[in-house]
Amino acid sequence: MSIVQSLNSDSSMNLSSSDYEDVFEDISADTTEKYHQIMNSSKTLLDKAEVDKIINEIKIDKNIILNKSKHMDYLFYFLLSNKKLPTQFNQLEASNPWILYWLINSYKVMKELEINEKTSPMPKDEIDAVLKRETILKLSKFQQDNGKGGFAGGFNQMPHLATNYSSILALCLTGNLKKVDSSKITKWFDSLVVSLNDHSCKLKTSQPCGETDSRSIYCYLVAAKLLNIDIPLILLERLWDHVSDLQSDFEGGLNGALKTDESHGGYTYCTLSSIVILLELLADKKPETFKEKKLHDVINIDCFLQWLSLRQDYINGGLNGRSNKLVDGCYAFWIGACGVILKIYGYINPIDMPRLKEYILFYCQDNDKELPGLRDKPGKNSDFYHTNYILMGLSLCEYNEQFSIGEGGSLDVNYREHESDINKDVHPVNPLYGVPIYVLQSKK
Amino acid sequence: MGQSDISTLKFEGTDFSDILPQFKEIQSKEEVLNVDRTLVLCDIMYDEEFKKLMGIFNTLLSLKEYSQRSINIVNAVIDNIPAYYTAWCFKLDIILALKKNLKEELLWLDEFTLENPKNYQIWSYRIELLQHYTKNKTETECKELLKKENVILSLMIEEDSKNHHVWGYKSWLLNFLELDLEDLNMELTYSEFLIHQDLLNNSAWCFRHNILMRLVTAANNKADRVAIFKEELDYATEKIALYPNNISSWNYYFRILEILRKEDLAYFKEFIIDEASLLCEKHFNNSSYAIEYYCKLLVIVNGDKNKIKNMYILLRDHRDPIRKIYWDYKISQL
Repeated sequence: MSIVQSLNSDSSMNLSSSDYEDVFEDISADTTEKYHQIMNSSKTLLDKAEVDKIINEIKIDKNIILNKSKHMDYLFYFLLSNKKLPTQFNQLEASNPWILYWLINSYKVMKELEINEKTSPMPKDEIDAVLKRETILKLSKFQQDNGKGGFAGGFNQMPHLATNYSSILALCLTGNLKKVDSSKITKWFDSLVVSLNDHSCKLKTSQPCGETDSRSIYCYLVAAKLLNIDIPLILLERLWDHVSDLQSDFEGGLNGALKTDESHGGYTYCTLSSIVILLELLADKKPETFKEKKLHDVINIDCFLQWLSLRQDYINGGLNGRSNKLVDGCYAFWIGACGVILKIYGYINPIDMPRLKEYILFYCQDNDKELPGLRDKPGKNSDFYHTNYILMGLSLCEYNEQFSIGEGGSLDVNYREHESDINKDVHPVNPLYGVPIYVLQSKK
Repeated sequence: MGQSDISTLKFEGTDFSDILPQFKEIQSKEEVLNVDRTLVLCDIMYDEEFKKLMGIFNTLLSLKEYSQRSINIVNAVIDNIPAYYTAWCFKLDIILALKKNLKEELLWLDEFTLENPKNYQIWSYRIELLQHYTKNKTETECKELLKKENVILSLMIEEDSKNHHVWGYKSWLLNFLELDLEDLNMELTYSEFLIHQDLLNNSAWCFRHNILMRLVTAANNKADRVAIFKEELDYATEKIALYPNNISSWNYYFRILEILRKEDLAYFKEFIIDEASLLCEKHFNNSSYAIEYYCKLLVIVNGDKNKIKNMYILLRDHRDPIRKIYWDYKISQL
């Protein structure tokens, strides 16, 4: 144990963490020579080197802030210009409600711009009124069972848990939730349950074929919560059996379908959020078993924190979704939210949120050309999906220290106001439901 | 659009004039739903040919027409928009209702899959087909199936070795089919091949772990299991030496170590602890994971808490400072 002994007398240990950059340079110089062959044959390392190079070439202005007016322009163009999306968007024809959720949520997450005729096509009240009216007109076209059932991805399509989820969120964002007739949604929900009476019970995103992983459970639970739909105890218990047995023994992340799969940021988010929501519902329905249960009774928190903390890249502060994969801005939400959820429920958020914020502001927006919208990483184009999840990730960074949980549980995630809030460009979001906190509060 | 004028409906040579009334009905239904809208709000622009295709599809779907011409239209929709899940759902209903040859359908799907590797829907569709296909099949036939599925899967993995959908399907398949030792060893060799190609392919490491757990379950005595673990520790040691800054190989090594400890504590104490410490010490300067796992090892053997703490401080302040919060947490847990 000679190294460990020598550690005790290592005086350099008192250096501050800001000095670490030199250490890395030394190590990587040594590494390059010794591991030359692997570095030139491993696709993982070659891909990473390419991204590092592109990122390294970007000049950083430490004072850069969110280019709100450009991003608002981007959203307003697609939402309000009354121009159709070009033909190549037809790949999203089964995802119409997602487009609305991504765009409207991005708009609602960003704080209001100064009223300025150049930047805003109409006053905010008017924008909100137009979006409220048009969103329900459009989405009700996609609702099954004569406007009483589940929401599909488009006109004349079958209902699907993911598009139902994004529809409900879009309707919630526009203050339309009370207008939704959900009287036949329960019947549709029931039709998605496969073998309720044994432990292989699954929930399908759609019938007759669809995915049965934790994404379907998460989408189902969020819709049921927002619509106040009661879920029978037996189903809650079956879903609980499924999600509470998804932590990877190998890596520590929470998987989507089988614990033997590779852990992934998106599924980890769905599984963690499902566990939280299910625990809340079960504590109410079956307190004798669930009232005292905590997250650490079903999640090995130590292993989970290790896996989460490993997601962050020391060079740029961004997050990846899996081990040895590239950083991607969208994980600022999927992984960032896992950290925030853990923190709200009494554990810690292992992600360095200030560094994550730097990744978002330096690299997820094109500061050089001042392009609208947010992107995965430099070299990629911005899109609706990334714009939404990166803005929400930014919100988690901004309010990380301020989130708390109210009496009402997961729907009632709140935040302590702080004098620095005035300088923030985004509103605080609820990490479990993916919409701003103020939207859920006005729902009450 | 003047739909009311037309009296025939054809698409790529097939006649659909018989469903023209319903076709018009659905179109006017959508028009009525659009009457109150004043904003296109992200509607997508379509050319006339595409509108006609979707119109015919919508009509056949609402009529539940299970026919060959429906299959052709469904295929055309899927070709245009692979993510159009409604078409996949409709297709499954038709294929099963018409009692189509599922082997042929799987071949069609293979071809489609190779062209659309990132698609979600192909996999749940495949799972449904396979569940129907394997009903009343013999063991030998199922074994054949594994071989056949592995052909398409390895082609997909060759194209993109970390495709999460492909790996997810493979994982499902291994649960669905009953694998014998020969199959499992073949899969283990396959993981070795992939790790050889890209030492940092975490998907391949996870897959190896999955297969290994099955092999261990299949081994019927402790000595065999311990021998497997020992072999895998050597394997990981060798891979760590090739490139120490690789979380996958370190995770693997210590996962095996953890199971081995549960399996045979005496052996673990006598041989493995020293070996593992040596491995960590050897790579102490070229991988922060070596230090991280050294700490884990010391915690397991109830080592000196001060030493562990100092290593965490080293990680926090120098070697892995982006994970500062985590290291502080680990220190607080001591």
